[in-house]
Amino acid sequence: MASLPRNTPFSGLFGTLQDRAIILRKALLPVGAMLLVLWGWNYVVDIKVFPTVVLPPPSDVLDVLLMQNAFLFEHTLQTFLECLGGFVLAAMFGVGLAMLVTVSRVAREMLYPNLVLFQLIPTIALAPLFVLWFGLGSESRLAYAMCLALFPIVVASSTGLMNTNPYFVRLCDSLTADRWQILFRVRFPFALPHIFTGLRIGLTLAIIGVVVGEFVTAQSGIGYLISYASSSLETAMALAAIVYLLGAGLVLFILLMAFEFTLNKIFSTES
Amino acid sequence: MNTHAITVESLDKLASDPENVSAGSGHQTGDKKQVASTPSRPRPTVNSRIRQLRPILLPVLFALGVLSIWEFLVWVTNYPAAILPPPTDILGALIDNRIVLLQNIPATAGVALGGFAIATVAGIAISVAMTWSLHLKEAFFPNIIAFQIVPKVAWAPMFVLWLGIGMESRLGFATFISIFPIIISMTAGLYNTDPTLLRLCRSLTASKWQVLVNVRFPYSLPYLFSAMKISITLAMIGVIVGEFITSQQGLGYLILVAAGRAETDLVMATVLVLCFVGLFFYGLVELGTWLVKRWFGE
Repeated sequence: MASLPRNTPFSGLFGTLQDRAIILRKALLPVGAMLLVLWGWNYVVDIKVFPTVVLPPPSDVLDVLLMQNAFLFEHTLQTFLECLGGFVLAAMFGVGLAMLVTVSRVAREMLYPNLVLFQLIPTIALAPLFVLWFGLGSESRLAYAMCLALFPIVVASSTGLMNTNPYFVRLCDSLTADRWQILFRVRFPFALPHIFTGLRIGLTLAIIGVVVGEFVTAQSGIGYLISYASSSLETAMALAAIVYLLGAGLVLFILLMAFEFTLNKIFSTES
Repeated sequence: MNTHAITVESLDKLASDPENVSAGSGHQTGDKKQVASTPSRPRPTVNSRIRQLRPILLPVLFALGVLSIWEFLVWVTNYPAAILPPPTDILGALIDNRIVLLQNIPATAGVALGGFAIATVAGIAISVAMTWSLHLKEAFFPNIIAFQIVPKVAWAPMFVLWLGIGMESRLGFATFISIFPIIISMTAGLYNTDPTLLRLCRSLTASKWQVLVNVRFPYSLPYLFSAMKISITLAMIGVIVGEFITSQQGLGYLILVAAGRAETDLVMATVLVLCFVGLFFYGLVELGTWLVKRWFGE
């Protein structure tokens, strides 16, 4: 029965063998499914359902991926740096703003409802406005990515910072810790999971921001490449560019995870 | 992208924040030392009426303050309206262009709603299939999660290439971008049914189909609804991005054209309209949630 995978009748008898089979299956099935999709794709191209302009065979994409390596990398690097820059700015401003909102009650009551309201604005629609404000260069994408990533970071961080266990806060209060000490020594370490949830959402949005910014107007970068290649019917190139973007996104996520890991380590050894 | 989920949660928590409660219910001076936020400077005594209104008054005053400073600065510095129009100009643009704005709402809203509806139905179907067979889930679910990592907006030009520059490409893209949260949440919901209930059903020889419809599905509804709230926002994003890339009508197209002509006030007015459309959809999903909850609650 599909619903009860762990309670299969073998589990007592062939424990290790069963475990090994499950691990093998869990690894092989997704890879197999992916290969199946690739094979199906290849087959569909072979029997010429769609013209190659619409759907090039996987081998074409791989060709472009390998042959145009340096060209693709150059564009990816620009997008990568813009994403990183926008995200770092958003993270600094976002966590800073969340701290301000946590420490000062006046600031919280003034800003917090407005922040929540501000989230309702479909920020994606603001992309052309940033081009108007910051020009065609990287600045507009940087500012736009930051603007997009800022709100989830502020909301998640301030949720985490304000919901520290009140007993700890009261204890530190009675031990005459001032509010900055409480903020950095107590609230901040406890809020780390919340902050990083916000940062992960923020990172996704920063990447979206840069790519949409490049769609709207850019002369280089991976978003430009995708939109340019697809409008000139170089579908294989567009797909290869998407693969590179996936790579850039993965690297960014791994960096963020490494940062989370180090920060957690620092705060766990400190106490 | 679950910004809305965070907002609601944080608002709830904010309401139960002990500091807020003690401030709101008008405790007298003895309690004030407990408020950790301002221990150094004693707050002037204000009557409790104003203090009760404070949580509403402060944000409204702040917003009004920002708007009036904005207006004032634009007038004083004679800043070009093409870059930063004063708020009154935006309001004026909203009123002057009301016919154009209203005409462009259906193109955007209809496609967004259509994409969202297709994504919901298809997403539920896919999750049910993945619940039907564990092998299917194990084969495809990790791939779907991995696929999630690519910023899906990057696919927008491909949809134009595949489906043409008409409405179909935006419908396809909105469906594509909003289906992932539904699949992921719904599958999680269908698999997280109480195992004792499933065992009970099995011992009562319920068929797979009966278990699915009567047990798993109702249990997964909360997951589905939270995913739908994210999904409707994403569908709007999908349509707007699609309109940025290629379209002849719609609010996203209007923004692009207005920005190209440096009519910044019209851009901001359109964004405001989009805001209301988004809110309306969000409310619609919220209403649907409430109705279904009441129906299943009985």
